[in-house]
Amino acid sequence: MSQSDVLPLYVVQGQGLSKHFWLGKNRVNAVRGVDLAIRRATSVAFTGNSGCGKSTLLNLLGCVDQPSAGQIWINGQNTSDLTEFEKSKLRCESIGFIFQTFNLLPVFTALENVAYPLLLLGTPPKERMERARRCLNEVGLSGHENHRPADLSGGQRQRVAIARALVKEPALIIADEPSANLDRKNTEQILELLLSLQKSHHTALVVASHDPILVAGVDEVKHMEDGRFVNPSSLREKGSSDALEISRLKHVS
Amino acid sequence: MRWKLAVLNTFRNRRRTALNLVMIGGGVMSILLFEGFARNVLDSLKETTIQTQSGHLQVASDRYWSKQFQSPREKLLQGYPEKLQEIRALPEVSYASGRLEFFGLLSRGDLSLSARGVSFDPKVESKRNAAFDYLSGRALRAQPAKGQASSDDDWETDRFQGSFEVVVGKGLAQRLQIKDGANLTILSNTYDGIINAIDVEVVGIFQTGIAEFDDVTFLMPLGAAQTLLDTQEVEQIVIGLHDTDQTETVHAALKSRWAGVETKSWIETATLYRQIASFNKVQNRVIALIILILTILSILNTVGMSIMERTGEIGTTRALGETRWSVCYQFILEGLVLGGLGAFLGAVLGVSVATWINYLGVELVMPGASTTLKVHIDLVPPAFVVSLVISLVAATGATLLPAIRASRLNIATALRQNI
Repeated sequence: MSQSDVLPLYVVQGQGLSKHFWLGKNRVNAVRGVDLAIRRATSVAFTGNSGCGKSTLLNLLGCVDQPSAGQIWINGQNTSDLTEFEKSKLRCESIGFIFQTFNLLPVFTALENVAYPLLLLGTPPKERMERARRCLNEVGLSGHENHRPADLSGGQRQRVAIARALVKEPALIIADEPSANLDRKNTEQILELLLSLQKSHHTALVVASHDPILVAGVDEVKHMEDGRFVNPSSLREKGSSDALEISRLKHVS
Repeated sequence: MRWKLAVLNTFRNRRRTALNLVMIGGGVMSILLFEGFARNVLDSLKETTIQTQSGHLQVASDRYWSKQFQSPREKLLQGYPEKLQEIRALPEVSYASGRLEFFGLLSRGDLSLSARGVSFDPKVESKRNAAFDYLSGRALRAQPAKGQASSDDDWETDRFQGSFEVVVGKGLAQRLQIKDGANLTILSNTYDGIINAIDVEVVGIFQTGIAEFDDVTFLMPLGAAQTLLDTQEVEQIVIGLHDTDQTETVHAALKSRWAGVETKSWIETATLYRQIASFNKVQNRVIALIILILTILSILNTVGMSIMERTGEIGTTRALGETRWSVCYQFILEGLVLGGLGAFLGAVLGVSVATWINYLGVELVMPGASTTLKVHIDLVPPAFVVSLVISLVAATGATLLPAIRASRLNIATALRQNI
């Protein structure tokens, strides 16, 4: 079986991923030799205590940080071969981000924030605004198009962020603790919305969270401790096939 | 959408933006006022030079211009009356008149001083005659050469019997210790090398504002000079035009009209004007450069602070797919918005202050000048363009360095700034 036959199944594959930082003279190993493969249109949750390496691993998968060792394939493309410009293009076309602190552009309205990724893709203005309006409607914010982030509640801001991540129909959405800044009621609503939209848009979702609602709703849960995935027995059935794929990639590379 | 984002970002911190706009606007206003004042001084000097010294064009023999002649008589322009008629027939010509210039000794009792005599027809060159600022007495009147009939109605035959008349520069009059009404004797060599003298009456004291001219020059009617120098000819014909802009057209028409005769435009003979204009050009560039640097330095800190405060936001946009270049491009747009608004503010301030200064009518004495200069600020269109360019360059220049630095930040590190 050739690599091109397999790649469409997996939106992200990582092999031997490591990331270390220097804090003064101390080396901190945030991620230690992680292998993973995430299928298209599936949802995966990284769980674990604070500082276990979840966010660092998400940054590596989202191509916003460079691994100290190992390789990542996004849509079958080895990201270590890409220039900075090509990585920007890859993020622009294939990856949507949802951040813990929403990270909306404060000067833009909700509609403009959602339309922004389409601007980067060069979508014509009229189509851009139509698609953004449609996405805002999907997250239940029709009527709030002209509100600025400061005029929205935390839950509404995160809905705008979800719409922004989905509007370009990316192959992968990376969400780092999307409910960390929300109250219980909003958390339930947002996570249910996120999982339902992930399914309806057929996009892969990788989320760092230990929220029980999310953990219960995702296709796969990977628990992290000290920069590694642990307790493989807790992986669901698909995990075994992923492990096989990782073995195959190791063989290919 | 990018321009909208640029405008919105520019006004995020209104106090800081207002400070930057004042800095840029101040720079633009300085350029407009300085250039406007310098241009006015230069234009005044140009018109003074044309009106009181060179005319728009001067026609003389090749030898006169090259100063290569065997005898002084070769300096004279042959066929003066015919050439004068031809020139006066041109529609662009306002006046044309002969001139003689010579050096002579001015004597009053025991005191004698060497001075430069400038003679012209006061009636024909009436504008020139009136352009001098007469401190006392009056301007010259036309006087024909001795023995010639005059058709001039203003001619006072009784005064001509006694003496010719001159007006004397302020500095020269001070050195001769004379006032109007004084009698002098002028001694000079004729074109044949014979010493001749005439008695003259000082009918006025003048000043031009150019001390070098006023200290050594006296003016006399052409007829009086022709009598002193024993000639009916002139050294040059000076041409005044209706409009200075027609100079090149008439210059081209007269250039090769007569053999052995050369026509020069005022700019070719006005050495002082050329030197001042050239100096002024360099000076304006240096001033513009200094203002550019000062503007960049004054806004660099606040612009840099604004960009660094948005590090987290830059991380977000980079994560969403902005390239390093497009991040810089966005900040360049913001610089252009800031620069454009600063230029507009500066233009409004510049025009207002210029109008106010012109209204006040402030006067000052220029170095080396014998008269006061009324400060007037011209609104020079090229200065608006220069100041717009400077403000745009200053604002984008101040933006560029921190923007490049911000765009090169590690995205994950930048994202951590979002708290």
